[in-house]
Amino acid sequence: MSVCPPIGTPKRPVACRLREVQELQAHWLERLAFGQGRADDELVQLWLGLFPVSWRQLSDMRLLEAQIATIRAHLQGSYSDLLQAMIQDTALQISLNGLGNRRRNPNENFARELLELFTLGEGHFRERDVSETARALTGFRRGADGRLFVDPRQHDAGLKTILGRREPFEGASLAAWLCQQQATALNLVRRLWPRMVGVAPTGGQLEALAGRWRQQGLALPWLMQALRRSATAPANRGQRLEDPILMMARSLRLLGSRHPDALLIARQHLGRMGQEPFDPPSVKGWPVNGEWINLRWQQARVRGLQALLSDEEVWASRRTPGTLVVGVTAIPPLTFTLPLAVSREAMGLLFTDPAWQFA
Amino acid sequence: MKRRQFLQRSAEALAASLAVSAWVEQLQHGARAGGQPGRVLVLLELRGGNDGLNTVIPFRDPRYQQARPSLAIDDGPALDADLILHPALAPLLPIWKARRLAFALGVGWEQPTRSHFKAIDQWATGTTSGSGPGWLAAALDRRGSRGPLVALGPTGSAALEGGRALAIQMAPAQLQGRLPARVDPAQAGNHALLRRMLALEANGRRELLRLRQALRPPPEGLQLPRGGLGPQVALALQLIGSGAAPPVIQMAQGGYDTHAGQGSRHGKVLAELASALAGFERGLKLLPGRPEVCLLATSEFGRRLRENESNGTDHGSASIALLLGDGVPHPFLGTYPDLERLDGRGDLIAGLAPQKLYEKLLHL
Repeated sequence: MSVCPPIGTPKRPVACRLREVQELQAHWLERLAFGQGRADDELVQLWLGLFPVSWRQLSDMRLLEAQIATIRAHLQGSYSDLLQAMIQDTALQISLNGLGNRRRNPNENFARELLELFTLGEGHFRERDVSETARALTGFRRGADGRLFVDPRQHDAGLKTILGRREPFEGASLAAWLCQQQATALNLVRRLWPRMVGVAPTGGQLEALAGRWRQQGLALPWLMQALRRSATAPANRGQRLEDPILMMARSLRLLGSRHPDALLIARQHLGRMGQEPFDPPSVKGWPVNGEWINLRWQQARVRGLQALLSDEEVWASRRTPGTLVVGVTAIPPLTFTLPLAVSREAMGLLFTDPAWQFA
Repeated sequence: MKRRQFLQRSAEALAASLAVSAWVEQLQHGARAGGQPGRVLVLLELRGGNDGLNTVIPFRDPRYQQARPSLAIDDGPALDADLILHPALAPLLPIWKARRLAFALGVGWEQPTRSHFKAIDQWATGTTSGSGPGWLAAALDRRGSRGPLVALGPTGSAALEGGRALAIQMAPAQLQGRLPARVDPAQAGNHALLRRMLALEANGRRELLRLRQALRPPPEGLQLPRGGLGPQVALALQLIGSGAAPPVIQMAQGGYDTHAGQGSRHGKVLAELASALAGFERGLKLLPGRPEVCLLATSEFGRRLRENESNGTDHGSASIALLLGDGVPHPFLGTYPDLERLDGRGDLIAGLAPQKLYEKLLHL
């Protein structure tokens, strides 16, 4: 293969970008499977589904690493701070055409998704709010260091009326104002619940949770703890069909093999399962819970795990526990009984059992 | 990621549903009248963006010759006075002469994207937004058919998915190997999601077994390509001749993303395509009492008129689609794009939207 032009050069050949993203994907899977900061990384993966960027839209894969670092740095803060950081995130701005949003020639793509997906939710804003929000977000440009800055010549500094308030809004004040809205907390809770817990409860439970979260100043640790508590409650445990990435990370962890084949196989098969890392299918992110139900993807999950198990190098370098204990699956297996002494056959039973797919 | 023109989408969905109803009626009528199995639609996806300009070639056009100093082709099987086929497609000429081959010209989107994955989504759903169920899945749903839609290509196809009708994948692995053990959906108890998952798997398994049992050996002497498309064509013929032909079969061939060294690479994939399609046609003739069959071959986009610095071509817009089989609109659908009139990037301007092509196909 020919030498790749330096990172940052526009229009780099897809083969170069592919090689770089594949490295990044393997590294990310390794972190999710074995990393010290696994719990945080799982949350980062969650937010990558809410602020989705596809590597295919980027010429520089380091922008994905930067987005990951930014999200991780905000996990202990409030949603308002995270949102503000995402508005200033280069990868997300590129993916939503934000850099094409100029004072004289506004592009509403980022503004629309900001209102509809990242904050208020459908039905809680008008077209006028979209165009005014787009004005507030004009002027982002990439500096020589890759970071975004607001170019005063391209930014519309005038007054904008957004959700009834008239101010010279820009990124930070806009994020703060949107996060004060009741609809924002509810929309976020509504989007996070199926991703962390499963089928959303009926009645006022989500509203109540969103209300309490607002009282906590939209603190992310508080919300994550509350959602986790719900996810592990007996009624909810094992009810959610896990994302392929986290299911695969869990499988790699149980196998314990650090042979590079394992990550290679995992990465290859995740695409067939419908979840190539850093390649969400749309701005709505990946499918969630029941949306994963699709025969092709289901079969790909099992085939991917079987491929992992049938690799001689991976099996030879395994560090499995001695026994598959009760509780290794979130719901009891359907095709065998636990506990079970570990063997290749036992691992095969576990990986092909539908229970392994649930969390 | 701009894919949310909701109003437009629903308008498109309505248009598509109107278009499909004619096909549906015809299918139902056909089934009632003759007791014959319904028409089989075969979708062949040419992955990577096939260079329409070097497939059905406007060889007399000086602008074509000028734009492609190293890649222009000026001799090949003639389709009419102005258009020739790539020489590698010569095996298709007898099918053309038998009027069982047609080309759709200038096929593409009004506002083309050059992203493979976005374009594949658009083609799969038949919408500019690229979201919603696959167009073939939606067509079967409207017909009230349970399918199955059978993907033979190694990675399946989104055009077959997202509907109520069962979409299954059938590769050599699923044909010969042991099927995974059946888990009774009742075992899910009150776990609704698990039950859905198990029910789908049980259906897929049952359908696969049914198809497997119905398969007859493929006709002999087809001389299909050994790899790639060849085994898919053989399996498609087995399904069509089984007496239990699925209403939709999908196949796929890769290798069309010819950014560099296009001359030999494009010739090679087209030669495989021609050999596979000629074998398919021979096979159809050897299947007595088979249902009507129409094959549609499409690619996510065409390529730029002007060749690049690497003796290749970059992502363009309008391309050609190929139709083969019973009742195809021979010789042409649509008109060849005007090489004088290019868009801002120097690409051909499409005159036939994919939705219209689908509509036409479903009306045949």
